Amino acid sequence: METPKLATVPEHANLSYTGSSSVNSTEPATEQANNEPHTNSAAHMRPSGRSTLTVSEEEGAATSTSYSFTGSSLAGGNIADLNKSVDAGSAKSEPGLNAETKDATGNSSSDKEHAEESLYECNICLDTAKDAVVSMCGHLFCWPCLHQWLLTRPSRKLCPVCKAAVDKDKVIPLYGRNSTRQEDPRNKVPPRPAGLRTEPEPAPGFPGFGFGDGFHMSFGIGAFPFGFITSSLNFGEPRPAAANRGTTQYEDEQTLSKLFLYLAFLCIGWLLFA
Amino acid sequence: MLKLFKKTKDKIPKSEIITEPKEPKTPPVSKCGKPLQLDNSRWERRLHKELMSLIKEPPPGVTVDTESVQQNLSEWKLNIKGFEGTLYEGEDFQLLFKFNNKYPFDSPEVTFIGNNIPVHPHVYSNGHICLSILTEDWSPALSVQSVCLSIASMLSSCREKKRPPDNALYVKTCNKNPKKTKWWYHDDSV
Repeated sequence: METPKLATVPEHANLSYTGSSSVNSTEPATEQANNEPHTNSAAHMRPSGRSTLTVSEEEGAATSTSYSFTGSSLAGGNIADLNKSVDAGSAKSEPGLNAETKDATGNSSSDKEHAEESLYECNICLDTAKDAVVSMCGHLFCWPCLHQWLLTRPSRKLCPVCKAAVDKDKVIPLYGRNSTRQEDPRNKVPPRPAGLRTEPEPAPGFPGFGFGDGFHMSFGIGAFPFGFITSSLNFGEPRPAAANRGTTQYEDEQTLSKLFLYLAFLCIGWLLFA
Repeated sequence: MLKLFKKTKDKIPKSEIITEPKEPKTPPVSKCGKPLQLDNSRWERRLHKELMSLIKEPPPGVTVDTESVQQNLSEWKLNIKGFEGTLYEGEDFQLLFKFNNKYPFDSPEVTFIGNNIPVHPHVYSNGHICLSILTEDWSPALSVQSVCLSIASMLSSCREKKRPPDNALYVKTCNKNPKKTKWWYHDDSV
């Protein structure tokens, strides 16, 4: 159940669907064409409701065009964008939702472009990857998207697509020819991480017995209750997170900790009554 | 001698789930200590994209209730058909997807709604679904489409129509939001 068993979906499944007509836009095409190149990002922030859906529908009809120039590198793209959106606007009187059945009135080229461009879509935001990075497993992301995902689950840094391990230091930034700044996208978001700084070693009051450089040993006498306290209240030591409730590991840990608790009670009781 | 050994607490009843009280979750914090700003237009844009591709190329047997989406982009109603040749042949189900503004980094909340909830070992009678990709195995590369496909596959591979063994208890005690449930995924067979 956990993994989608795609093979079990019957081949002869019913493909019919409805609802294509209810989203058709009736807005004049020219208005959209005028708006498109300049107010692109603003249009997405319209309040939800009828108007936003129209925008999305427009985007669907114009396939990739509305996304291809939303980045900061707008230079030179405006004219092409305008042409395309006019093109898409003219095709909009058709039921714009079934792209396969569209006849070739300039749409085939934009479809092809869309297919080409979707090769470079970020796997998270589904837009053309901006500040692109590629993981060791070959999956493409915007760096801001991937970075946010890595922050979301700091303990399990997995590739969203294939669940291979990913890490900041294990992704490769991609630089196109015309990318404005040949700057490592990983340095942008987040602001460049601070330099590595290690805490100084705790000053050794007692040097212990050392054999050369690598080996040290020390011994001492521990009083029982204090040893118990220090060993159960040890701060500042990175330990793995507790196991999830319900897992067998959790139960094992619980029984183990109970066992030690009883053992401690037993010792204390023995000290008191013996 | 003191009575040291208290009677051990009863073990957790053998059920698949343990409902957990709501725990205050700290929002993700960026390296500079500032809470991470989630760009509102970004998740909206992704939802638009998904909606378009779902309308254009819906997975088999799945249709979008466009009217519900028109009213509220963060709540989608989807109709899903029981496939031919499976136990659910001829049945129609309705799924409700709720997205929060952390989508796609946070999984959508997916439940069956309406008066026909499929009788399935991983679907509770209140519509909650025990499916790992809806909680801990979620990945932002997944989409509404892939979730639908998983659910369709889950239904199709069912061999016996029955409710989960702890259905009565769970339905009585669970939170309204299935994501608050600590699910215990143990059965990969269906």
